[in-house]
Amino acid sequence: MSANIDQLYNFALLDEDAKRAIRRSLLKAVALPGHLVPFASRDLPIARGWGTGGLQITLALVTPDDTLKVIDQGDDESVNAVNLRRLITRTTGITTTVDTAAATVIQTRHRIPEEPLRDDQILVLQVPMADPLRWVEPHLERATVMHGEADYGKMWVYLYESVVRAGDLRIASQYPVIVNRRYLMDTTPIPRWDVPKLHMAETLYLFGAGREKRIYAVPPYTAVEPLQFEDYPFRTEYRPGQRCARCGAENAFLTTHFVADARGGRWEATCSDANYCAKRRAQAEATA
Amino acid sequence: MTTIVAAPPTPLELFNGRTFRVLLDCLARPGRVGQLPVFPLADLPRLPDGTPPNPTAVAACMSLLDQTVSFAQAAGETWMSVDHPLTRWIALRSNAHPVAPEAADFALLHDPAGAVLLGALKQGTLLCPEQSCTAFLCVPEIVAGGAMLRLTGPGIAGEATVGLPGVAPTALEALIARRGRFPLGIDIFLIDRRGYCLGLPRTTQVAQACRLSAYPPGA
Repeated sequence: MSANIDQLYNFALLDEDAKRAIRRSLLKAVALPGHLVPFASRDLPIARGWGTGGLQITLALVTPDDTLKVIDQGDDESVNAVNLRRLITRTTGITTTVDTAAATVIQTRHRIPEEPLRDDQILVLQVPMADPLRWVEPHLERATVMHGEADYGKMWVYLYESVVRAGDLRIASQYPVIVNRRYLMDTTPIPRWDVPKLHMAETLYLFGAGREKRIYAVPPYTAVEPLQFEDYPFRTEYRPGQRCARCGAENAFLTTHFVADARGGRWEATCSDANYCAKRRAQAEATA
Repeated sequence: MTTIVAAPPTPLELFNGRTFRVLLDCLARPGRVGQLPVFPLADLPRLPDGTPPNPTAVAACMSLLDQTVSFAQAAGETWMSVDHPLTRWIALRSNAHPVAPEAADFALLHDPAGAVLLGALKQGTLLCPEQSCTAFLCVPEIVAGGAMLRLTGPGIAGEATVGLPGVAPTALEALIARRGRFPLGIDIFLIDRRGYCLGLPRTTQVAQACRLSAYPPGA
């Protein structure tokens, strides 16, 4: 059977007008750190809610000179990352990598790589829920007015109630932050571990919510402060004595999973960032 | 079996993509001076005073224009009419609507003296601060690290300085004025004759460095 070569697609799939609309929203998002900029989220061969916001930013961003890395929960090989990477490479032909240091554009779901990012790299985050006020104000119109007036009292009450009920700030991920001392922003489901990486970073962070049709950004060297109380400060997931079972990293975000063995099995904590863990193991082997 | 094959970008697509990356980088890092790519189109009509416009600035602005947005242009300190040949040239190639300055999504100011017109442009509203104008201001030369303007704010580690030789003091003052009204304001790209670009988002605080050195604190 002969292959039918189909060149009916544009470079990077989206038509030029769609890319321009996304680019205009991205520029305004950078000029308004933390503010939700609406954009016309286009239909893609991937369902909304599966990373279409991040995907559209990446497609509007990439040029043939780029090297792309796509991760899902820190892993290059999980389903979401593999599928998005395949779509982007087939429609652009750009090179991809798993090496964080070699990438110029990194699209990610729910993690920021452990390796420090440089100023020539751009991190694109896929966002499921764009507005942090959704927890306290379900009406989008009212939430927009609250953002316009920097009226975040309800959010502080939410945090206070969380302390009263649970004895601590019970927010596992999507930790709300104040960007550039003005806008309240949702950090997407990155773990609390990654929130400090947004503050005064060297890298540009772009956030895309395809289903919610919103784009927002955190430029480099921008103040990003998690909401916290003096007596109940923001804390990451760090546990004293934590250690990756594979590479031995102590200062990395770990995920636990069950490993079955002859004696019934055990819980094991390993790095969530697969490339970081592999690099550390390769380094240890080289020096051993 | 159908295989998706990546079509190579057309010259204009490639130009738009590369231009956007420079604009994004310049806006995210005010004070860093980026080099814009060369415009693939030629034969731009001349400005009302007979001088040719800065092709890189026109191209950078056009890379973001389509039928859903509007633009306005000014030569010197006056707005150009909607039926000027250059306005029609841009509108024909981008499908963008030439409109009055107070309604424009994009403004192309062909002379640094046009900085005094920035106050006439859309500043956005508290509900929709993103609905403000993006201005492209042509200047003779941008010198990274020059000692005329001191920039601070998001995107800048500490502070950055930049020199704008050949820009009149009144234009510099107009560039500095009307800032500090975040989240409202205009985002400006300064583009010089060699195609170098400086981004000044509304978050950037601009101060005149020379004046500060002329009158040191306590003097």
